[in-house]
Amino acid sequence: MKSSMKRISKYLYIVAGAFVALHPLANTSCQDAEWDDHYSAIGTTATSSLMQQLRSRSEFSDFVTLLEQTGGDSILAYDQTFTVFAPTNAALAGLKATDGTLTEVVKNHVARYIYGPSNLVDTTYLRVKMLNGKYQELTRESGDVAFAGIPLSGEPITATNGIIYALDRKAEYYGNLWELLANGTGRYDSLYHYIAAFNDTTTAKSLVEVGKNSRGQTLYFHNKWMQKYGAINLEDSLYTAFLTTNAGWNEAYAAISPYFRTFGSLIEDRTPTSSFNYRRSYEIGMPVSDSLQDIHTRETIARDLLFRRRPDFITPAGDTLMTTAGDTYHHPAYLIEGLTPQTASNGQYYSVDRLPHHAEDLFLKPIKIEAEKSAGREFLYSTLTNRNAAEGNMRDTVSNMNFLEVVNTSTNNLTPPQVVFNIPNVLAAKYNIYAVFVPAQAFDTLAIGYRQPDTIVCRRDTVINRIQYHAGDEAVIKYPYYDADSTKVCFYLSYVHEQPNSSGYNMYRDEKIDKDPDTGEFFITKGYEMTKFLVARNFQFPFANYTASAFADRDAQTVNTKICVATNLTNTDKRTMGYTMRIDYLILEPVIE
Amino acid sequence: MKSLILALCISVCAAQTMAQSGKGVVEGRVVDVATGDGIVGVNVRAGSVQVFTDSVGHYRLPGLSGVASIEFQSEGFVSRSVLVPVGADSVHVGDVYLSDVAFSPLSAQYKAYTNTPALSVDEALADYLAHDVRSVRRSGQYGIGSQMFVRGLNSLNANASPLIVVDGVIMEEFPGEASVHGGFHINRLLDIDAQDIERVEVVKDATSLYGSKGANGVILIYTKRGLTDQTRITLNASLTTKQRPHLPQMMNGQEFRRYVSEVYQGSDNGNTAAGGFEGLFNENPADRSYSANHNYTDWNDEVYHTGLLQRYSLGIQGGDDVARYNVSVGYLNGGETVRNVDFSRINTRVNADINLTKWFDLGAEVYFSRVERELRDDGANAFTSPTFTARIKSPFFNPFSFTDDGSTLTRTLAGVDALGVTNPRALIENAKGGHKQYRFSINATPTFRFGKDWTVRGQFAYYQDKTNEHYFSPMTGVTPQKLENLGMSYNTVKEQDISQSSIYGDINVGYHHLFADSHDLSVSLGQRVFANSYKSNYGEGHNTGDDQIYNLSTNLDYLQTDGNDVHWNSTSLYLQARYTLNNKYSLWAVAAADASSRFGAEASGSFSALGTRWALFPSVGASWNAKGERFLSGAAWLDALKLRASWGMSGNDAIDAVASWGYLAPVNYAGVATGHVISNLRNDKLKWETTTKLTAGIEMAFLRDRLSFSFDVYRHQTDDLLNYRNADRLSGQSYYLTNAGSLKNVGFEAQVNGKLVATRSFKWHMGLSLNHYKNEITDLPEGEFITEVLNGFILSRKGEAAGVFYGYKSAGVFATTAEAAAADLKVRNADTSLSTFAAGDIHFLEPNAEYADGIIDENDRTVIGDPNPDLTGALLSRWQWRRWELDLHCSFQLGGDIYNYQRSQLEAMSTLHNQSRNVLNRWHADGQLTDVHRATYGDPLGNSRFSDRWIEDGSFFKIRQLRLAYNLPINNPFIEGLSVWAAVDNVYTFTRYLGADPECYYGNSVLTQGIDFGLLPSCRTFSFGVKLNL
Repeated sequence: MKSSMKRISKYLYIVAGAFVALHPLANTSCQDAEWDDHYSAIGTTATSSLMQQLRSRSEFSDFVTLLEQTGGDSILAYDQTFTVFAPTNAALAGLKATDGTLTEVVKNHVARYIYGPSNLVDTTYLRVKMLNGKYQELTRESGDVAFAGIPLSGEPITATNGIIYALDRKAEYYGNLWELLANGTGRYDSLYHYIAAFNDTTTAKSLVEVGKNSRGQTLYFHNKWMQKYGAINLEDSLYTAFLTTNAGWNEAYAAISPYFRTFGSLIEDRTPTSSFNYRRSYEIGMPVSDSLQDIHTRETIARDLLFRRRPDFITPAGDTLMTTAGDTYHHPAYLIEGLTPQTASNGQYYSVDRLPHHAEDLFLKPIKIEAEKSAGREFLYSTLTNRNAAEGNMRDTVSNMNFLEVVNTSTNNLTPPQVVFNIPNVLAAKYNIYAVFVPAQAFDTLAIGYRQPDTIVCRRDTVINRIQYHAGDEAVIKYPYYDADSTKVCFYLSYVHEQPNSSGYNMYRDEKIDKDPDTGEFFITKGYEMTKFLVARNFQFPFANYTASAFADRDAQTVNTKICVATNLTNTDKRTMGYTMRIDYLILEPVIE
Repeated sequence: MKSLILALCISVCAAQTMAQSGKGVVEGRVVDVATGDGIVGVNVRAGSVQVFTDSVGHYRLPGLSGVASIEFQSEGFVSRSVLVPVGADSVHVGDVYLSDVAFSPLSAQYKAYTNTPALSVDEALADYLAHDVRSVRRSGQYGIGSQMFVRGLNSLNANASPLIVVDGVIMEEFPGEASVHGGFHINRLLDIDAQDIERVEVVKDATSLYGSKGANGVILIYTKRGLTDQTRITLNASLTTKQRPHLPQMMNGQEFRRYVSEVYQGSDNGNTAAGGFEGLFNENPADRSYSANHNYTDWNDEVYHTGLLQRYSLGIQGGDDVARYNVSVGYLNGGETVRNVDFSRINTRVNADINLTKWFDLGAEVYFSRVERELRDDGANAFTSPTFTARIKSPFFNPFSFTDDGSTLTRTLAGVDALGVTNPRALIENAKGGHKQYRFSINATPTFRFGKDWTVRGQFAYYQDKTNEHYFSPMTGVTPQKLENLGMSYNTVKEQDISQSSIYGDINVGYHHLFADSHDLSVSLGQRVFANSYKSNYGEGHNTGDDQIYNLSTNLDYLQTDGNDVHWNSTSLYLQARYTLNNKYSLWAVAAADASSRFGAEASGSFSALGTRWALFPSVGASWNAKGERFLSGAAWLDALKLRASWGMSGNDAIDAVASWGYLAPVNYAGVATGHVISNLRNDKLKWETTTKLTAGIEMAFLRDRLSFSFDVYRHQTDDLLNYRNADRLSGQSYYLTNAGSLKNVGFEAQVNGKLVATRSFKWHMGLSLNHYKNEITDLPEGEFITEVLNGFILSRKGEAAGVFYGYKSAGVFATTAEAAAADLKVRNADTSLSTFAAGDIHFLEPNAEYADGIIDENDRTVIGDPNPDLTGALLSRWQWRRWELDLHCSFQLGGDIYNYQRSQLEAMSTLHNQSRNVLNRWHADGQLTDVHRATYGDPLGNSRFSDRWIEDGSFFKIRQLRLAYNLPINNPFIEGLSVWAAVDNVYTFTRYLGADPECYYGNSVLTQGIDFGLLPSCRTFSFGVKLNL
């Protein structure tokens, strides 16, 4: 027995020895405990909710009361994460809960997500969207962080569903630009009603839900004007606006509407296809003309009132500022002279009693017709070719680097080659009309810009027009480009004329214009350089023929202003000049008086 | 070297001859160590003299001289040999104790492969041979097998797993072969039923017998053969249930909704709008979107259940004087713990041994197995893995959809949720994951004997594997994936067929003679021929347009095909010789000359002969049985003392079969023509990796063999590492394969076996093994390189171990703005602007002084972990009390870091995926002390980058198996034995690791060890079985 005990104890030593060898494994602990540690709260992780934290601090008792009165406490109980900028009792002194309190106070101090200094390490400024949809600014200045201009002092309070910062003052509530227009106590009615007329609903998902239709589909707010020029009803983008008061609106209306004077509906169209000599008749004084004039005028007043963000009016980059409509102001400092910006939740605004700008600068613009563009272009007795000037020495001179080459198909003086161009968006204003022509060498680099003899005798190896001639050869060479280099042209203007007859206002072609109104010289193009002709000076169109509205029906009016360019060669001229016309562009420059 | 060995032999022989004088008698008794009773019928042999013990275990051996080596053999006992110095008189030897063979827990020949839940041979090895083979389970899936290593990592880019030899035939394993199923590994060892195994031997030392294939060690598997004339029928049946795994704790619906509302801040949705807040965060129960967003779904219930596996096998053994046979049939079928994932196998094996004449034997084997599986993608794949998507799916969604007005729950599966996460149930129900694996093999081994000493033995085998896989991930409820450079994939079809066959031949001439009872010489010379072919076809297409159409067709988008048709051959001429003097001194030498179609035509270090290039691999070894020496013969406390040492070279030819060739591959040109482009650069110098091994060991036994101890040290040096070298850009290839660099492994292996209690009715035996290796890359002429795996980086650098993690070091979370400002760290964005780390971000360190520029970038990476364990081992214990047996198997690892990729996905807080409850500690405001960073969508500062946060200590102690068996007392002429057993596997793991299982492996490369991809971990299983012997 004794010996067996001895033996057993010896074996126990062996077992103990084995475990000693394994002792480093004592390091390994129970996995469950390790997991529990890993998945449970550590450090200073919060275990109570936002409302519990607020209620536990007496300095927020007024804010807690407001939350409870307005139902804000149930919002903070949602399973979401919030940052609460909680005003202290001192900040809320004397505030009583009203209908607007939830939106203007409670939701104005609560944001989704977590915000704090960590969001401001690489920026000094951050827009924080509050629960009421408004943005407030979180800013950093040399390490100090402020919310809505109110410094955040003290440690943040963490909760299971967010964090709390104490605020010594209440954050201001601002309306957005659209709310300001709507609630401007009538000051901006004209502007407001103009934009509000575009209000609509859509089933396409967007940001503002406005209800449901009869089929249960969700409807969203939609406004075509805001879609085009700026969603001033939303808080997401910043704008600077010139809000025009009713007085300013009326004054602008009186000044701008004459430019958009127009005619009524088409009564009769008698255009002969053999000459494109348009003859159309329009109604006089019909509602169509009045409404178009009104639409275009109001659109023009309202379209250049918005800028993105907060532009620098005094020293803008490149000395220009672009409105949301894409129009450009040069040296725009004058726009804000004597004006003070006011704050809106989605930007700033200037309240103005007259349009700050000259509307003409923005809408009375030159009208340029590139001849090579085929839209609205018709032609007779000719073939048209678009030529590219990229290879020649006039590549930078030729507008758009392309021009139109018009080659005659007959040599009959009664049927000269001619091209008719539509001139869209002419206003009832004065214009100087120009036409620009291109010499052959803009396209054919071998063309020489002066007349050559019909025959040459080659004395040495000579290359002419890519053909090699040898000494002693005598060749009769036709130079097609030489003959066409120069030509004589004339113009016809077609538009709706002021003098009505029994059938209404009439569109027809005026007499041929074949001489420069200033010098009285014929229009003869140059063979070696660009030629710019003044076709008419101070030409007053009696009616606007405007089709560029962003909103009006584009088919409301056809283009009724046309310029025809034709050759004007006499039999004598034919000896020295060709029929080929190379037209670069036509331009109508408004005469600002 | 050879002449040296010869000289040694001659001199030892001469010395022995001179020492011989007179003949003596040895007598004694053989005793059972457990009971102390004499054992009857033990075969006692010394040289040519043999006798059997009588009824009391007594024997008497006459005519011995010198130092006699006496061997004691008896069925059911571990054989022993004892050295006895014999004078002219008779010598009485003390009692020789033999122990029951079942009580050598750490024996490589452990016979208990039955009665275990192990399905394949590699699983059985992980259970029983943990001391010889370091096995790392690839995942917890049935039969997926283990990544095995013998003595360190002997390669970087080539296969580092040991060679498998089944009944003498080399088995090609194709470790680089990819399955179409994510997280799955085609395990060919599963074709061998663990219950068919008779014994397994592991060749670890420096032998060169397998030449260019043996550098990673060799595992020799022997299947059961007919042993006796008696007919034995064994029936096994068992049932195993598998529990769902230990899963990370995820946030509940309430916690997750808060998290989403926080991280939404940086997402596109969060920036633009309230849209999400009206659906996901709607607090009005009357709203139609409310019910779809307010559920309490436990997604784990949708994807996991308790798996059930049933398993049957029948074994018949028997025969007569002429022929003996063993026939076995096995069938198993079971459901995985993941729903709709299942597994079945049918296998049959016939082994026969026929003694045709006195001089001619024939062994024959026929084997067939079929494995069928239904699988789903596994691992941390956020698109198509049902288990991982169940983790990241919000609990507030429902697997089924509601009617449009939100009033009624339908039985229609819900689609992808508002947060873009897959519906796991849609994958469970509608995905398809077929895998079929067939294996057929025949094997014949004729043996001719000429006289007493000469043998000619042949081995001729043919085997064929066929694998067919089909994959389909549906479009309903599954997040669409963007395919690089192609477009969107809504559903995916993949198909793969693999056909592989091998012909194996080995013929050798052997000579064995015992000269003068003391000089034992055996020599064998042989040649092996191994011819293989491998064909595979792969097709992939997307967007079938409908989940009812799930087959590959030409109508699919982004069709891709791939395929292989390769053949490779190798041959080996080998010579082995062993000389043993008096069983005390043993010298051996082995040399193999190998030729292979894989080697380049101008491989350095090779010689040209017989029209091809040959590589020579020599090895020598010696052992000394010191207990036989006179100066120890009196040491009664010492039962055995053996010393051994060996040196040798072996190779690793696991090179892609055509890697040394330059070849073209077809490319499609604009859908109208097919052209060919260079696809591989020829390298005539490409060759095997060479591992030079130096080993030494000692074995000791004490206390009548009740305590045994062995200790081995080794040093492996691998040269000519296969490496990818950057190719000249003009070649159109980015790299080519070459041999450059070396690494070494130095380590030890220690084992202790103790028969702690051995009485007639109670026995307690224990075994403990401790293995250590230290791996170091000693040379990389091409310079270091970084391998990117799962957002992590693996560094290969001179002086470091293979597979070390290369990432960022961190020092916690900045608690305050002031702390962050003091550190003033930044990252450079894609547009070259800088972003600053703020309070709540991780404080990354800049450990490299020359790059301490305040900008956290790749220059600040450093070695942050080493996946190589410091110590691995096993602890096995067996208790037997009367008819009860209780087995305990434990394995452990000390050190060895793990990159917890799954956790890095569940705690990154950069997406709208559900995260683990650890993120409830995330930083919210200045002054908060935590080690969890703030949640930021998209993680612009890279807080979740590959850093030491995701590297964890992988030390563990795992109670792998607890098994209780009871042998019923049966007294029936028809029933020989009946035993019932019950086992619990993966009983418990002690670890600090935060993943489900510290035993994890990603992919099949040396460089990807220690990466936890979140594959199904080893789950706890309960098994119950019956074994009937007729």
